[in-house]
Amino acid sequence: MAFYAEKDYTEDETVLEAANKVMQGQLGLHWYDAKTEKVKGKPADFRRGLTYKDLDIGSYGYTAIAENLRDSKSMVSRGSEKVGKLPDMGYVVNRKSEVWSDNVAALYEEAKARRWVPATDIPWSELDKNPLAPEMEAACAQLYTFLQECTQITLDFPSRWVALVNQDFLEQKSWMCAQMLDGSRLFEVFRKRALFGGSGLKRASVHAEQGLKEWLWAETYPQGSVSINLALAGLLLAIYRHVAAFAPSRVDAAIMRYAMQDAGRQVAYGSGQLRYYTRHRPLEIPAMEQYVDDAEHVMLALLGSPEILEPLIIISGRGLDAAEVRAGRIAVLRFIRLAVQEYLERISAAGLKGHSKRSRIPQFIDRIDGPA
Amino acid sequence: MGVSFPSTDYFEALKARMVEQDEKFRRLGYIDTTFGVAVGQNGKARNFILEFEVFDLKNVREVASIDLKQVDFVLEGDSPVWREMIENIKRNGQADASHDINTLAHFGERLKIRYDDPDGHDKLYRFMESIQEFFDLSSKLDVSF
Repeated sequence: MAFYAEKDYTEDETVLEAANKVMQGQLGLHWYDAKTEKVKGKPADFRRGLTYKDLDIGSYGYTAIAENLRDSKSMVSRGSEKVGKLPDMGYVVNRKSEVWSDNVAALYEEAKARRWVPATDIPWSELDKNPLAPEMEAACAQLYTFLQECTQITLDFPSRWVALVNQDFLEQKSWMCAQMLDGSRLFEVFRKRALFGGSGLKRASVHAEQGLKEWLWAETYPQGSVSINLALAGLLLAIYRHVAAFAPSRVDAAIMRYAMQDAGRQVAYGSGQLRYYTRHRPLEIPAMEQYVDDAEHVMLALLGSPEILEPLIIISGRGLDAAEVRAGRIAVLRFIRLAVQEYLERISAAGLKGHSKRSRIPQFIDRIDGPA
Repeated sequence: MGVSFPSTDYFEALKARMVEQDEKFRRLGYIDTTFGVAVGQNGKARNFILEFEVFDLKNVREVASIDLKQVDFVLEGDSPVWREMIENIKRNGQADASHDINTLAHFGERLKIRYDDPDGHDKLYRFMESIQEFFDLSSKLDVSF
């Protein structure tokens, strides 16, 4: 699906002549008096620096973006003068309600301000000084194998859509790029942790991957966002919090604390996007409810995967003895209930108010046999 | 100089230490959240509201009760739990894995997290590293209970 510019510029002598004129000192300055708004941005708080929010001014701002972008199809930077035949980029997401969240600009700034570096911010040498028992290290290797699969999807989802989102949503596109960086950083740290421990990687999860693929390839952006940015990110946030609470080493505790920050931002966007969508498109709520009804079975594919349940049980119980496994099972059952409860809370707060009553997930969770 | 817990003096002392450790908190990034701390004592609670903005604790005040709609979340626990956490921080220079906010609040057994809106609740995790570092500054204080 290649695109060819309307001419081959090496065959157009007028282009060369125009460049020569300029280089000989005959400046045209046709851009100098561009019919654009003259504004000067300034930081609201010098400690925070100059942010996108500070530049939410007039025609340059994001508040003024219309719901339907009818005459903005090119890659022009919002607020520029448009002259001549600018190419239609073929954007697919051209409605603000399909992609926007009120916290997008703030989350983008926050993602940069709270960046961290897996190579140097994790106290890796602690694991050399205090190595884990073999069964615990193996459980960690399985946990981090699973987390890499999930994180890959949080990286792929914004990658799949970003070039299809209208350029007028520039803060949104920047945020999607920040999400990709967050995803790639988490993928990096999980891979490094697994391989640093010496057990190598363990087994991939068929259930998880089948489900994650269904979520990744949701037909529309709002649908995929609910699945990836709200449901998956919320579940991962719960896993990070749980592993941090039972962390077998300072290395794992540090990884999980950073990971929960990155996942927290993603959940904030996912909730915010659904909230914006349901507020501006109330007639679409039944269709979104139907999508969630159909797609949330993937929560069970993830929560029911032995490839995540078993390492969580061993980590939570701190070993493989019968008593340790029992303690781990108790903790993991509580974790599952907490993760589902928080998922339903977020969905409801974001505008699908009756969803917790119609969701099939709680009744399945109730059928998971926990320790008496 | 000693400070007692719970009190606004305690949080003001942490605020002053936060300014001294400006470089560390800048590195951790923006912290934009307003949350409550509720300390149960003999069936009653002393309540504080902490407003963080950019890299600092902008304001702290004691209130009779906390309106959940006015804060992102409330960390609520009995005095002995808070005391155990602060003493653990003093001993180790920072909370160990059994005494950090996340662990104490996980499953709501020791600290409870109350919130009106899940978005507010999630801010605890978005800013967890900064919030924990803030409480870890207790290691520099002489705290009485």
